[in-house]
Amino acid sequence: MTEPHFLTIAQASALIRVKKLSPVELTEACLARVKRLDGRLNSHLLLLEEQALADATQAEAEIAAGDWKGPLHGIPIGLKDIFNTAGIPTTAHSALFKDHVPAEDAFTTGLLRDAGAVITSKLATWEFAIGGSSFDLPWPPARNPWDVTLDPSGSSSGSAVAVAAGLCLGAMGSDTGGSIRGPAAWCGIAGLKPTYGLLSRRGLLPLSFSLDHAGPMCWTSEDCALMLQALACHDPSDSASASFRAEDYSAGIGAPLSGLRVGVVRHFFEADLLTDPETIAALEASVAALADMGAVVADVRLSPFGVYTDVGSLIARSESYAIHQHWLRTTPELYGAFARHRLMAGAFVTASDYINALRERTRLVAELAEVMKTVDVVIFPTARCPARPIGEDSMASGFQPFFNRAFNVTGSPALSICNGFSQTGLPLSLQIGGRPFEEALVLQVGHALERAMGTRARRPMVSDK
Amino acid sequence: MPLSPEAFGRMLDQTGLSLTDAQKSVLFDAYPLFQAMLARATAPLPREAEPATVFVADIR
Amino acid sequence: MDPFLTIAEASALIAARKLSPMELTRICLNRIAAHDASLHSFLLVTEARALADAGAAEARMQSGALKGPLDGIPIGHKDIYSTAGIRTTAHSRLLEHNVPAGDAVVVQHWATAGTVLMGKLATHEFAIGGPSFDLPWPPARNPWNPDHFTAGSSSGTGAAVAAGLVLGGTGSDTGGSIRGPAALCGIAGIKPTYGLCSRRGVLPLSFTLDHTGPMAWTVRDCALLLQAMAGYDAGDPASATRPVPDLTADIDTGAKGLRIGVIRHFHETDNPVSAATLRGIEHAIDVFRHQGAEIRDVTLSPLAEYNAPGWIILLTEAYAVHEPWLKERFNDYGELMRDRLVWGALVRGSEYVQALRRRRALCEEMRDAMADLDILITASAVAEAPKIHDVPKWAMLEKPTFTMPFNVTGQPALSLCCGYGAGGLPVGVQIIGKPFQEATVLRAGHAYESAAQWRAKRPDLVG
Repeated sequence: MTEPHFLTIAQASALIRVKKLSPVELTEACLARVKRLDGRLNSHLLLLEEQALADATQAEAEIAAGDWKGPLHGIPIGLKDIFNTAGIPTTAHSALFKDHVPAEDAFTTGLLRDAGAVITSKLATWEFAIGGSSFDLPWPPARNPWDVTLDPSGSSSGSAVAVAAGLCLGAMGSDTGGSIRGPAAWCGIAGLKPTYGLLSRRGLLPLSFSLDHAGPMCWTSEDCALMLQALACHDPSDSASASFRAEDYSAGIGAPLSGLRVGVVRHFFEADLLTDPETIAALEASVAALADMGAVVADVRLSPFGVYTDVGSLIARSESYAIHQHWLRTTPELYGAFARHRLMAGAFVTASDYINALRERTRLVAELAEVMKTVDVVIFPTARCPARPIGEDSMASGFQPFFNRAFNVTGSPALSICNGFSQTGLPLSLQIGGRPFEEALVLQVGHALERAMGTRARRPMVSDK
Repeated sequence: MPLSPEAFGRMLDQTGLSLTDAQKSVLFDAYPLFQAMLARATAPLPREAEPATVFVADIR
Repeated sequence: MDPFLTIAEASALIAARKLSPMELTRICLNRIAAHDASLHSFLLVTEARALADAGAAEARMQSGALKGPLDGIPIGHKDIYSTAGIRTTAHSRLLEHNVPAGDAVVVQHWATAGTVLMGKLATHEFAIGGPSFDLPWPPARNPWNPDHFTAGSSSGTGAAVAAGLVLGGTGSDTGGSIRGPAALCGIAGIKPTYGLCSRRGVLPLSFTLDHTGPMAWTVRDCALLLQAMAGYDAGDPASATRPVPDLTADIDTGAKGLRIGVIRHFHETDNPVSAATLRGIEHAIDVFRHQGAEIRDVTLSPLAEYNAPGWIILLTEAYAVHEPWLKERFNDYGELMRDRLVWGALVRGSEYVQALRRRRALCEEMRDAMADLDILITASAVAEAPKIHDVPKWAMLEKPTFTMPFNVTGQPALSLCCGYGAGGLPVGVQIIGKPFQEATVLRAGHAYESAAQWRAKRPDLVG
């Protein structure tokens, strides 16, 4: 049998349900692994050992008593440290929030608890979900478990690292410009940015109101579907929370793809942003696999990727500067250099540019909706290349490693999966985008490709020295 | 810190509008009124405060 | 002299075949010919179209196929409403020769209801720059005294309705552009809830603050016009999907039982109103109390706190709309408009976002304040109409208006006449409701209006 910490949520929960796996043992295995490995990975800001064991014990008792709450019951889950936890520090990885202890759980935190999940950890992030892999903060940056000299990307860095390394079975991330999908890609896991409005944002530290999304990060697409099931719930206190009918997000897992129409946004990676050959090769292999499974694959055109980057960045800069302006003025020294510089860039966007970006956003949403009448999902790489060395100043170099912004701008769902490995053994990535509120279809395609490409058997080897 | 008419003029030039000195001067005289209004509209708020308009992903 | 008819009166006569739409239209055309040279309320009189519309209505009358209370009623559209094949200028040199291919959605709705289109009405340039004397057309004049201002920006509609040149018209209201002219011209005008009436085909000033709405001599007429204007439009992203209730069903039921909050500090402290305005507001309160309403004072944030984010959002959004032209053709705009819009160029994206965050906080304050109230009352305008040459360029920066708060919150707000002050000029009171509770607002307005008898008096037109 697979070691407990490397079980998927689906596997673990099947065993827990039939009492072949104890939530306490599973939680203990994860906690022990954090203690053994996280000195090198830095994915944890806070390990909630005592509480996690108590929750696992309770879960075990409930399940023994016949009260199984569902697939997350007794499953160790970590939270990016911008998700509020009642009575537990929530730092946003920032000196400004070093002593911040929220009174209430984030809405999604509460839903995970209701589903019986065992919250084990508060996980590393880029400062305020924007900074970068920084060395001038109260905590070090998380490191890539496939090679600790490499960047895991961010901002949900700790979440991706912890899941990939088997420190927890699933984690919450947030995604404003790719912060779930980027680290999912470089750490070789599955990360879903759901439709804007599907998951509540209440109790997440905001970065950019209209672009912020919460979402699950897991080893597999199937696990993302299981987490999403517990998380998709209308929240009347979140102004952006959509009214929707929750569906069975696992409905497509394992279902055939025959007849599915897949659009390849080829100009993104062939014309708009130079993309490395191994990533393209993995994409072509995935296209072939989709065709083998009966999908109908065709090329589609959207606006050049740079348009999405510009629109997303003008919106994010204005909105995040509005949030941080007061503190940037009064206590700039409490920010790390990356976050300070990135946030300060918001001071130079005119309102007219912001409004025109919103108008262009409306056009981009309509354009995508038109294209999505001809195909059911679109695909393109998540990352242009595998993980790069940690400590590179991407701002200074101007290097833009990901194709992520597009789906923050349109608000439609996008999943990043691992669809192969480079010759040097690093994960490669593919992104699957869908129509608003069609997460089930996106996850179906993700699952099928993970199976077809055979990437889920390979885990990173992390030495404890 | 009060803005000089010259600095105000440069600020207007940066907007890309082409104003005559006379036009700039009329605006300069009213600038304190505008600044007061802008300050009132943009006073600090809690981090969690949301904007009035909400993005919707599935535009009908 | 032909009698002045309200829409309700005219439509009853038409339904009874006692008044011919053609005759009514000719009365209005004659009045336009007699008075509009001094009022300047029309930018374009569409006489041939009016006679054709009236002829069609008359045929329906004769065949017993009238479409409803607006069939055969002469109306006009503010000249920011697109009219197919008919010049639509926004009172601006930039659109001097603009002829739209299609009608605005609400123009279409009124046409479908059988209205008679008399022409296109004066506005402030693009609904913000005015009263201006450097445009291709002069500004509209107040029919109660042509030396005086109509207020804006739906100035032509205010003047034309008060003078009986049309029986009703469209206005648009971004910071008070329906309610201001309604107050100063002594008529009724309602800014409905944001999203109730389509804005498609109406030239935008500020996306998140723009409202379309009707103006007429009486509150009941506003209700009839609004009924034919309201409704979901898939082509307007802000349009609300909820069904429109019958707006006149309860209009005659009086104010009994209404819970009314008076925002006294708005008009007594934050921007003190004229004696006649205050007298009119108190009169309205007395009438409501007498009819059995519950009255109490409410306290909100100061008026200026509502105005600041409103004006910052308005100037910013308007600048974004006009930026390309302002950069290319600055001096083709009138001085008032171009100078006012320049401020929008100086706002940063984050400041605009911050104003939108303030706006949400104010919406929440207003929602909580109205939790156990049905309507609010305050002034519509600070005083009787000033002389048209005494309107300050920076009025919006200097003194907070009573109208902007309800553009910021989006809730329905009605202005109606509550008396006459200095020089016989009218004054207005504002009645505000909860979102989508137009029927309650109209009911309260009609209750006061029918008790007050101000409607018996029309401007004494000279010439």
